[in-house]
Amino acid sequence: MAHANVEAQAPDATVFGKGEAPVRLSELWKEGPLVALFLRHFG
Amino acid sequence: MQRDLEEFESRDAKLVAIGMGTGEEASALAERLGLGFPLLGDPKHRVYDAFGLGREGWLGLMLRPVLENPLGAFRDIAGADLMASINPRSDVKRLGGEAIVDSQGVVRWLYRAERTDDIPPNATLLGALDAL
Repeated sequence: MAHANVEAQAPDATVFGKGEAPVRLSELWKEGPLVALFLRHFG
Repeated sequence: MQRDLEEFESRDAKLVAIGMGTGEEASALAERLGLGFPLLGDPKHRVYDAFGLGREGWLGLMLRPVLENPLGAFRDIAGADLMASINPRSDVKRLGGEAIVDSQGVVRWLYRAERTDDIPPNATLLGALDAL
């Protein structure tokens, strides 16, 4: 699988919010620069 | 990030944290931590894979922290939420990372952690935002 890299288009993947509401990453970045922090785990 | 939330917001940045659980698990943790930004779930790790975030080996995960900083390692273990760690959707070997994506969807900055304790300081992210 090709991975996202700097200066490349970010994957418009779907993550999930409260109630398992789907959220596409593009909905987040379209409002301005998106800073995404990827956690190791919830522990 | 929570500590410097105002600094990020002053740069018109939208913050989001992504974790390896369900949306409900993420929401519950965000509420428990009192986060001022969303925490969303990626239960099948698709976003982690898409951003090329790696996995630590067992040696790096278990042995290196103890050898480099025994007190810190045991403190981390004592303070860990072990039930969350054994969540079947979680992956304790999965490494984290950070990304900045501009409003056109272009990745402008990307950090893939190489170790479990490899987290850039907020100042690094703020500097990257300033460079946009």
